[in-house]
Amino acid sequence: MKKTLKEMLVALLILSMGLLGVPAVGMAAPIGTDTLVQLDQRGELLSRIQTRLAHDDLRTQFLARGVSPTEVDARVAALSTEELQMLSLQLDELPAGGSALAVIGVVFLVLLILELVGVTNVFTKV
Amino acid sequence: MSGGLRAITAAAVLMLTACASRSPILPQLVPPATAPVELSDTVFFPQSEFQCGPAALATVLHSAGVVTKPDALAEQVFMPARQGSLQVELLAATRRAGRIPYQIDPTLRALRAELDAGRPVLVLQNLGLGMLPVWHYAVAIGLDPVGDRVVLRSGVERRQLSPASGFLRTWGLADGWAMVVLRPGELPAGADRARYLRAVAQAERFLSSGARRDAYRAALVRWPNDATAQFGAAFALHAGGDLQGAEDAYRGLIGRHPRHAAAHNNLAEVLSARGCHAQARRAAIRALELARSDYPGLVEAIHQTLQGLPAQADTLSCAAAGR
Repeated sequence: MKKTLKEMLVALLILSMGLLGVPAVGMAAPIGTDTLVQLDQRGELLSRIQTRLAHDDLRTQFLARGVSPTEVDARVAALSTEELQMLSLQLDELPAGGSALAVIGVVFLVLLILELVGVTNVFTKV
Repeated sequence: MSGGLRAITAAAVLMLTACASRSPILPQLVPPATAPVELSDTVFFPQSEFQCGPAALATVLHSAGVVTKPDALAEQVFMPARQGSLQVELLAATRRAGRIPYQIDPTLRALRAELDAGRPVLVLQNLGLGMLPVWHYAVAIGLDPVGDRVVLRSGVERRQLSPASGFLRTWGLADGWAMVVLRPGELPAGADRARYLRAVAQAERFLSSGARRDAYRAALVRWPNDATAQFGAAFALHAGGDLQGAEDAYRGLIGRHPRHAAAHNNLAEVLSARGCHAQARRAAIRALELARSDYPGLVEAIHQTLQGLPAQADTLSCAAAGR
């Protein structure tokens, strides 16, 4: 009996912690224009759970890719809901503009050949 | 000679001949053909290693009146493991600077229109190949139709003169992605209504109430009947604490768009704030009905509004306002 109570309490705590920090859609606040533009053609929004999952997942991915722990929350918070979801699904497939200095190894050789024959202009123009 | 090398040589010869016979591109793509444009006052931040994202972003932000440096922006956009910066993070950092990032059409004509309006254009280029991309950000500051060149602030080059053909290829390999930075109140040169309003709304949380108002009013001047622009302007007043102004604006919006659930919901909030509890409940109930049929995504938020309203009759202060 005592154990069941404890389990129930823990479950309740976990549940309430999960709800903390969920991006507030309503919470008795007025509806913002940013919420309005997220509505899809059927008038639906991404659910709070989906948003929360994408948020946490992206935060983890950012940290794993070297984003500083002190900056990560502000960076994730500045993304729109669609951006959040899109990034969490395909972060590594998206272009990350750096510079030609990042080119190494085989890529370098191939590009050098192409550069010499005039197909690309990585090295002359950066 | 190996087959591969022969193929490359053949391709190269083809390329060279193709390039050699090419006539100027810019005059055909961007009328007026002969007028060059160059925003030569645009600041230049030479990029440090891998940091073309922060450098290019600092450049366009600076042109929109934001005092910043690439180093400060690197913390907001640079991703060490990728040795670069993602496009959407450039958009996000622009919002954090209190400006509105707007993605322009992937055409030289759109780029030219922004330059003519005095805004430099941040572009993504793929300097490598489709299969072996080398992603790079630069800032287009000019077009020279006579020399058939695009003028860029790029990498460590203050004034890079990129042949139009090469620029179009590298930009095209990056899907022609390009953005400008708008000050609140500015419309982009070739403004797409939905895209502009979306850009403002997504920046809304980072704008002061005055800046929000300016951004939506600019839209209302161009598109007076747009429901989202009207809602944004009303919400700017609401969030800025001008409840009377917000109430009038929400009522005006509902007059023209009676089925706007979010407007009914927010009207309920401002009515309740000045003691009109019964009227507020009626507005919230109407909002809920409309949301159930048209905007199921808003039902939860409107429920919360309704639950937060006191179950009281209208107060004297409500009657005093005479509505």
